[in-house]
Amino acid sequence: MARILVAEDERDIRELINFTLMFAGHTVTLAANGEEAVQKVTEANPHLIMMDVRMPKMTGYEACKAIRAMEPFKEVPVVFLTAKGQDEEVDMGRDAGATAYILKPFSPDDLTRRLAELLKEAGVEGG
Amino acid sequence: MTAITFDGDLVHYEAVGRGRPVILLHGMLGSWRTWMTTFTTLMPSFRLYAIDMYGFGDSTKKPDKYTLEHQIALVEDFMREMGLAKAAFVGHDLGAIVAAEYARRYPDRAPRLVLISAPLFDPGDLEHRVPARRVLEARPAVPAPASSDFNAPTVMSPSSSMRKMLAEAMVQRQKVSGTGAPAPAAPAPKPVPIEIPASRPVYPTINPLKELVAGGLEPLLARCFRRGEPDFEKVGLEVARCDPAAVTGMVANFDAGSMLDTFRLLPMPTVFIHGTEDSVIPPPNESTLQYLTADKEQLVLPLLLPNVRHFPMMEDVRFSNLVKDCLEAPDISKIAVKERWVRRTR
Repeated sequence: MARILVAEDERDIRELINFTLMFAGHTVTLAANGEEAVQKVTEANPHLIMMDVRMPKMTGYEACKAIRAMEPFKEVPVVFLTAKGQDEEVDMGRDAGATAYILKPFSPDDLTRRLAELLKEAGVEGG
Repeated sequence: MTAITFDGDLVHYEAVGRGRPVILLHGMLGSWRTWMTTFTTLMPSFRLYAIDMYGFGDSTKKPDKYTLEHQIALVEDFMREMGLAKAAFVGHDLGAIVAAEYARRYPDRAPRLVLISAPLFDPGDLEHRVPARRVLEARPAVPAPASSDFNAPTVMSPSSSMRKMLAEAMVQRQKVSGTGAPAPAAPAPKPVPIEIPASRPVYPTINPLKELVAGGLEPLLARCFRRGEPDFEKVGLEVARCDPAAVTGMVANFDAGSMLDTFRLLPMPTVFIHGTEDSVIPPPNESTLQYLTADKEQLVLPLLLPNVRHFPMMEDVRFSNLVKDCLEAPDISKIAVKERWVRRTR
């Protein structure tokens, strides 16, 4: 299964995503904000990164740009979590290098399915 | 992260795991987040649905939805929407009330209950109080004249399925005990309206929950966790998300004795888990436990957790596995817990 880096500032949502993905068989690394995601990305060496857009210290966009600037992670899929109706965020995310969006609210089941599709597209075995 | 609407009112819930369905109902200081620590243990074996009741968590804040009736209706709407024919229930304080009342109305849809920090108050009349089933035993298996109010369960109008269940239980008991009028071989008696005899005392309403929540939710939070404990902040966020009117609305018509009768009437395996140091809803006393378990040792299991306050799911690492055992054990009376309360023999 895949290694996934998750950056989400709300603890309970982060935990919910964590055990949802772990239950699906993935290895998960958690970050509480964008800055922490950038710090952890090398060690985590993820197949996919999932980030909330609005986070303290460093937003998802800023973190995405910083990660994309690292050679090993130029092509890693980055998925943003964003609220419905935030079309500006979608445009900004594209500029920052986002691969895809998952709109809130979403169910853990939908999340698992969507990530499986993205991992498959990225050629990750068992995604 | 997941939401559904009923009549335009948003209900937030989380659904995780695979297996038999379990509905998780939070308490007066909670939301779906109450169950975070429980999810990981249960989700490999169960499909868990943690619902934010009206006025709590991320669900709609609409005062006209804050009655116990509306919360019960929410559960029924939710089960219908999810296509659940039946589900076990795990409820915490007010969630335990909703679970019990739902189960009393729809006993076929709630095969098992785990009720945590449930309102097991001693109404002070248990020495004289006549359990509802004993009242039924003394009654003829034919409709009685509608002459007085039914004073037992908290829901004043028993559902037809409940009436049927009670009537069947009465016939079964007569068969087993050989007492009372012989049970008719066939056909089974039709559900009958349940009436109390004119001689049965009318018990006064005792509502300690109303007084408990009258001062707001913050004082209750302070009874659960000391300032500085990690869970103080966590539950504090739940208090901030909750509309206090939802709590007062749900307890407005509570009655301690009727609640105990409702618990006693439940026909499905029911486990009560209570912290011995709970200062929000005190642990049940000996009289209350005797009343709850009389003749129901195979169906009712009270478990008292030493040194645990109002949130066993956050305070006791054994909690999740204990709930798992309670949901899985074919016979709940066989659940081995050292601190199990043992029924006193008279």
